[in-house]
Amino acid sequence: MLQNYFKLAIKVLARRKFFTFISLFGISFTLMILMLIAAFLENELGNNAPLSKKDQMIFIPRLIMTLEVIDTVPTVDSTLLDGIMRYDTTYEYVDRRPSFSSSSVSFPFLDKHMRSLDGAQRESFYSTGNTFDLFINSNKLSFSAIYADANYWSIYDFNFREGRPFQAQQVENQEQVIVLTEKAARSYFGKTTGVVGEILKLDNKSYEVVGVVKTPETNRSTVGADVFLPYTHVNPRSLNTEEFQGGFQGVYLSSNKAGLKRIKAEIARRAGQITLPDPENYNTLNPVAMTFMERYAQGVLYKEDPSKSVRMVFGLVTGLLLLFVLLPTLNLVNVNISRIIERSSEIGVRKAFGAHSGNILFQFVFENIVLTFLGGIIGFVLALVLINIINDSNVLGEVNLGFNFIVFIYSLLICLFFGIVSGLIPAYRMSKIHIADALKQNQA
Amino acid sequence: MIKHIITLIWNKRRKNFLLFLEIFLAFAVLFVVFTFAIQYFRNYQQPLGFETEDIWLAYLDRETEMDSIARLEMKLSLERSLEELPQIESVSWVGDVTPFGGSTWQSSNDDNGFELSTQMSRADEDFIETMGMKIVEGRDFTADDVNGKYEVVLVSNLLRTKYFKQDPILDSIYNLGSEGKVVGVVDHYKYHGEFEEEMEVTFRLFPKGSEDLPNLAIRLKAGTPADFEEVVNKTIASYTKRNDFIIRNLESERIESSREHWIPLISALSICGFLIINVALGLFGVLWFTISKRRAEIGLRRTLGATKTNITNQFVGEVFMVAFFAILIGSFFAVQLPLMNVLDVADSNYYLSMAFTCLLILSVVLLCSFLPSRQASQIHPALALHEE
Repeated sequence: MLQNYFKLAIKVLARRKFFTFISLFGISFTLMILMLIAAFLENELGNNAPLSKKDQMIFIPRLIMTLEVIDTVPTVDSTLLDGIMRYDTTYEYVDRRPSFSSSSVSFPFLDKHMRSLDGAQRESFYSTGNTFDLFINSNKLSFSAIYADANYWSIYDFNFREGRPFQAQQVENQEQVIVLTEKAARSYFGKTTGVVGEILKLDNKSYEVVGVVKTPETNRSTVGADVFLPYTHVNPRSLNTEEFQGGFQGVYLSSNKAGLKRIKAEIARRAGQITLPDPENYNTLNPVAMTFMERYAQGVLYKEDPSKSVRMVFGLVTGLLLLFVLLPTLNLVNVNISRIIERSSEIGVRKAFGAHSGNILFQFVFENIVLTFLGGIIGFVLALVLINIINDSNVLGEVNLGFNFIVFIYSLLICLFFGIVSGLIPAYRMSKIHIADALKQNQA
Repeated sequence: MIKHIITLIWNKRRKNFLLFLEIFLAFAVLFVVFTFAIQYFRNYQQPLGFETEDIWLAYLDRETEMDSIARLEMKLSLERSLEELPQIESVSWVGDVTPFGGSTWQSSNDDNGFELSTQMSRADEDFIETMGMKIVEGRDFTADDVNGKYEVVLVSNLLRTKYFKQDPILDSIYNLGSEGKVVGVVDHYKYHGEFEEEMEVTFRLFPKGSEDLPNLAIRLKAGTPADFEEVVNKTIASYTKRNDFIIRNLESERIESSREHWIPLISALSICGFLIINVALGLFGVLWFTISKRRAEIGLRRTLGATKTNITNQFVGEVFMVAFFAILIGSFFAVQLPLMNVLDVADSNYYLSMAFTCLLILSVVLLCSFLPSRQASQIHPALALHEE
């Protein structure tokens, strides 16, 4: 039966070429854009190395210090009552926040207060956003560096192409060892293999390359760098500072989802126990503990409460996508209704020979799904072409969009959904048609 | 005539409703995108106010290990040896708020008798010249200004006209973030990027040795090769004894920051273009179909004496009316945005965008309905009636 429906669908499509073109144009472009978005989201939010375990992580990217005071605001209300002025004073208590400071965290703070948390398997403290300009044969290389401890490598699962990460002992001994990305190795040494053991000069020191990792295909600040150094090489004053804020951030790995909440609670509890050195300037301490999604959402749309950011970003993205899909869908519905009227006699005949409304409905929705998948294939090819163009032109920086299995499944689902939604209304209308009317309507 | 068309539309309300909804949605999407596009475009038209060719910015870390005298000495001798290089025209120290640097320092107060809000930037006396900015009133900073009784500031023309209108402002003392004597007005300073709105800016003069001026602006002679950067890098490193600084080329920073805006703008506009084409094609197809279904009606009208123009007008009128109502409802919602001040966009941008959107949709509708309607008017009455 399906085979017959399929044949019929193809026949009908070939009959009215202009309409087929309109439908396919709309479908393929819409699906192409949806597939691009799916590929982009997969890249940003999927479980890809080195962030495969991102759903078990809690980050402390920032420490917010504020001065919270309660102000008493008197309001004097004066009324003239029987010729005498009366005063009514009300007091209002207002929370004020005269000072606010938000910055990444200092190493001593993390080291002293935020180690071995309840619920966390392990933690890593590292410093991002360090940049060095190097000159190789008068060519400028701008390297961004992450200073990390040894645990960093067991939390972020980098793909080592060569060598291995630096070890805890090497970090402690301040050994001059370095891990490079393939991209950095290519630009510095002109090759990506056989680099281990070579010497790289940086910051007036000679570092021995101990490992080469696959360049992470993301711009995330947690892992997006060119070189990775033991944190003991960072400027000595940032390792011994008294300040709470500094250049570091922390990440915790929990074994399961339930651990995430415990880690968050533990961070808040420990922060509550810390006495601030200068309560006249800052009296409240808030190490912002966030999951990956919360951190991502806050980067897109800042709200002080990270879970609110997540909700708002999610709502915004779904709303925009719906709006974008609605228009082509409506268009398709419109065109489909026109087309289907043409086939009212066919419906009449089928009904006269005993087909139920359900059969008719199914046939038309099926035909529409065939049409959407045709459009989907075209859209898929277009999306592949576009992804290649985007990757080649580097408009998104290090981000390298790719089509993997998950994106493909998403695309299939999108096609199916689109096909059913846009086919249902016209098919439903036609399936309800009365036999006699349908047969007669042929002429009208 | 109009009443008649409305009756016709009403009789086919179920079918026209979908058309109506489609045009309404198209209006909504185009309106939002055009509003932002117009906003971008208007910002883009404002000049940057400073030059980017052959200017480098070196971002040094704050030097907190040295005491203030050692720091002053280090900074002065670094500046001197940079200026001695023949490729360098001038050098200036600047604070953390830099062109394309991404930092903002905003301050507001009502100490002057009115609410005043300005963005602040710290610099030494050579900054205006190094960046190639234009003074439109008063004078530039001079080296002597540091020793004056009052702190000396320059303001941007935008701040000047917004808060002080035509009033004389030179040599007066105002609280612009901190008390300062205004000595001059600079033309423009759109330091956040080409697509950003220009904000009111106050430049505060700081002594060269200050801890608060950690960064260097370097102006090169035109045509200096890029590999000269290595010399600058080595020179700076030899004085600061540190390597964790970077030098950025202002021209490539400008291109980079504009690209961040071009990409979403072009993507949004091309999606809009696709939606418009989609709607147009759909409209075209549906009309073609409807008209071929209404041949009998057309034949009848022609027989009863309607001219070809009458027929064309009727069909174009029907679609036009549906579109008109959709746009009317769309405009009703769109007007709420400027009225309720939902987004941080100037009112005129909303209205301009509304006008653009109306114009575009109506012309697309006219175009797409005209051709099938013309086709309809060509129908020969005898043939059409005969078919019946």
